[in-house]
Amino acid sequence: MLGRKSAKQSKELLEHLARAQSDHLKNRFDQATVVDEKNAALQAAKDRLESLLLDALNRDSYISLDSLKRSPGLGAFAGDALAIANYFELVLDSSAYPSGFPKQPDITYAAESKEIRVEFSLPTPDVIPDTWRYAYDEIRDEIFPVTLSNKRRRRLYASMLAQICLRVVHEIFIADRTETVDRIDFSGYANGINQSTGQEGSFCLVALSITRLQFESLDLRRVEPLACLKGLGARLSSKPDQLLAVSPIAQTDLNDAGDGAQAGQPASDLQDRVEAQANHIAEMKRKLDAYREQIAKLQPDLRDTQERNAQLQSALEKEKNAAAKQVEQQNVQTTRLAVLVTELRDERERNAELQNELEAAENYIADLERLLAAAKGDIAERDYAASGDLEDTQPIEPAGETTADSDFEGTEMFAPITTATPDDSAGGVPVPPRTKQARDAGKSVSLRSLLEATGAAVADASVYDEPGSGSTELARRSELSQRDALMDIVGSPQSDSARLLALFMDNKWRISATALVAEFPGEFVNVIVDDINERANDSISENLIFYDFNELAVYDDYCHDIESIISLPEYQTLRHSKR
Amino acid sequence: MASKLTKRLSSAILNSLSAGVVPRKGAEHIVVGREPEISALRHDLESIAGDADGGGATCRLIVGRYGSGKSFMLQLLRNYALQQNFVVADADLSQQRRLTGSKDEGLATYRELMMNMAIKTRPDGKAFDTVLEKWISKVQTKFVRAGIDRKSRRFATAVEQGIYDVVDSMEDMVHGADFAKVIHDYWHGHQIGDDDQKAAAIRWLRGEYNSKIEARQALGVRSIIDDRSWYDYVKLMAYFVHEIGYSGLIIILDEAVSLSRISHTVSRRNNYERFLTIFNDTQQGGAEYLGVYFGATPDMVEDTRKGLFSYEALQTRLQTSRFVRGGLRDLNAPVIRLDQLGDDSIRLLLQKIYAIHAFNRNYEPRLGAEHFRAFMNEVTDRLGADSMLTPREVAIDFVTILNLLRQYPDETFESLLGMIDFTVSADADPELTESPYASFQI
Repeated sequence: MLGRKSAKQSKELLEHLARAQSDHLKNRFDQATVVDEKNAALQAAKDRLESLLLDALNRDSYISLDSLKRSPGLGAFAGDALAIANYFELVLDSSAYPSGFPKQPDITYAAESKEIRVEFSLPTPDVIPDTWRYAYDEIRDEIFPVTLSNKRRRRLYASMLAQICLRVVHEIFIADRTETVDRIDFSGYANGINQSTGQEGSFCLVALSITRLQFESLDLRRVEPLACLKGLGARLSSKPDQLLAVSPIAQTDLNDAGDGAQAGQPASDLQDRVEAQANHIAEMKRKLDAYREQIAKLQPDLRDTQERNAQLQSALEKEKNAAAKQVEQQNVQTTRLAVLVTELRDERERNAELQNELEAAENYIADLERLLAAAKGDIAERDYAASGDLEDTQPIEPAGETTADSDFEGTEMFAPITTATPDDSAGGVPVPPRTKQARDAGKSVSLRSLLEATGAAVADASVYDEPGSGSTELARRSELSQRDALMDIVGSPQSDSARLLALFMDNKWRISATALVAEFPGEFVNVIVDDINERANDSISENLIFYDFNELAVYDDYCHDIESIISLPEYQTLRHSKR
Repeated sequence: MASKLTKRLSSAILNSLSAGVVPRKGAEHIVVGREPEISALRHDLESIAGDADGGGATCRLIVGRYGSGKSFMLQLLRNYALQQNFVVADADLSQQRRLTGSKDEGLATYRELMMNMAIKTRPDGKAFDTVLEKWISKVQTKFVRAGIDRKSRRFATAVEQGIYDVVDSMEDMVHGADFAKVIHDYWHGHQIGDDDQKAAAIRWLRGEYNSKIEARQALGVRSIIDDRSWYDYVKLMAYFVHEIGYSGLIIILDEAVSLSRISHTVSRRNNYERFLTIFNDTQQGGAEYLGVYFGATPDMVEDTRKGLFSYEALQTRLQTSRFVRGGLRDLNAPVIRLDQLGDDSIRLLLQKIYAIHAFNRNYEPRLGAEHFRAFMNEVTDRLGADSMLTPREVAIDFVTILNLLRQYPDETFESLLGMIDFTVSADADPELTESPYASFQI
């Protein structure tokens, strides 16, 4: 019993459920249909907005041009700017736009330049529907609109403006079969409230200037309107939905271009302009008078200034004359001075010559005295040597024979070659007078004597005094003529060292190493230089020739003496062979 | 032998002193108060030059603080050695120039030594060519004097024989055969006028061949001088220069402190091992006619973490004998320690500088003993002077005063003495500031 009852209940329940479900499905279907219908309507509206250009292209022209041409009176219009403007206004008027589009084309035609100016009223952004699409919410069981985003809205509006612009241009050029128009200046205006300023007005949102040639190169069926405008260099507002204006195509050009274009202007405008011009002229006249008055006032001042200038000019002239006279006098004095100076110089030269002669004589006497002293000292030394250990004394060779040829055995090769005997210089070689400078340059000093002068403890100084090379020997050396020592170093006229030094002399005491090697083929230049330096080390305690990177040079101090030695008669052959 | 004091030399000495560096020439004119050390070094030179029975060899460390005169002593040694007919080669050790190293740092030292090889007549270095040429020239001269005609065939044979006599004696030594071959190649190149062969031989001897293949192509030898073998060639070179008439070879390596600054432990230890090799070789008679001198700081020797004493074998060899104390000094020990110069020595130094300055600038010396005393008082009376004063600083200050005195004749010595501010500069002793670890004594 109970079971049958419950079965019945459940059956009812199931039926109820099925019914409810079918209701629901039906409702959903209905709603979907409604949504689809609404969306379709929206889409149609949008399509209309998006295919403004295509519509125009599909339709050719609303007014058959042939009929126009055929119509009486058109011929009379030909060339009449007003008539042509009217004609194109008619063309544009007949173009079918969706509802809500204002159609108030204002056309001006310039016959001379065959230009047409179109000022076109654009629809406001309101023509774009707020709703993007409709959708159905199952849970709440209602249809709700999905609004259009600002970005999409702006893009759609901009595209629409571009299409209108191109459509107008297309319609005009298509309608102009007699090629009356070469250029179209299009400015599209929209009325409304600028959101940024709050001002109500008419704002230019798109401006395009296009020639017939440009137009004919376009295939409007395939262009993307915005890109096309951009390519044509049009000005399109970046925010057309907010009515942000761009500057329209300049108006003045066209107004001045042809008389016919002004035909439409009311007479009162002209009147105003004439009045304005008259006012302007009157103003200019007033200003001119004021300037004239000022000039009249300044005139006396100018005269004064001119007078003063004339006075200054004359004063200047006088001063110039005076200065010229002074210069003349100075010139005379200078000439006199120059004569005096020349006389003085001559006098001095004579004095210097006398002085030189005197000095030379003195030097000669001094040299003779010195040689005498040296000879005496040498005699004394020999006496001493003779009395003491004889084995230490080297046999003294004449200067002419001291060449690089030394004994090979043992270390004797590096043994110093003794200085020239006094006999050599005193007997054979006449000593030419030498300058004071050359003597000073080679002057050496005894450290011990200097230390004594400073009051130092002389005993301490013995640290660096080797036996045999002590300060006494230094002192003795300083007394010996440097020139004699150099005679030894130069060697005999046949020796390599003399040849080398003569070569140095010819090359201003500085030769590159490679040049030297070339001068002494098959011989070791380094060895010749080394021999010279070794002898120099023994007699003048330092090198004579030094290496300066890739060059070899002789120390300045000795150049003069070497030159005087090589100038001696014995070295004549060497000199002649060299030069 | 003291060199003559000329204007040129005195200018060079004064310039070096005022710049705080050791004069390259004329150091003997300003040496003071190092008599024991100098006589020890001179004795060294004598024993290296040896006698008819053979030569000696030595290895010494000149140890002193910065500015105490290490470099000066080494320079002095160099000059003495040059005067005594030694061939002297010197180099400063650095991070790029060590005793050995994985990037041929040891070879770099050898190359630098060969580059700076000096003899008496070429004290500025680059004497290597001259040494070889002089030798050949000497052999030739010997036979010319014996009456053999230079152009005869006999002359060439005789000279060749003379060359062989020298190089043959070296063939028994380590690497001697190659060395002899290259020397002979040089002679041969000279004989036939082949400059390329001569240049190749010189290049080989200077250690400038980088690969054995290259050397073999140029000279036909199978070895080159490399990082491992360069010291053997130094020994050969010492023997060679003696054979051709010089007293021997003196190697001077300054700034050895850079060895202790090698941060890589293994690398540092390798260098110390090479040092030990050199040390043993010279002290045990493995080398002849060779003196090796290092300039080092006390830190570099005695530091047991990074110094030579970190290597035990060296510590026992180098440390001061326990019998040396109370002012005694053993100058025959391998380490010569330079003490601080006494006041008297410094005063004498000032007098010498003054004499040189007067000579250079051509004026009569007027300053007396009391002036030097005043200057000394001014210098030594400041804080820390007794432990930090170095001859370098004193010399710089003194030369400055002398220069000022000449420049401003109105100023007196006393007034200038008051003007110049003598202060112990913080960086005067880098050891105190640079030492990575402080040393403590309890």
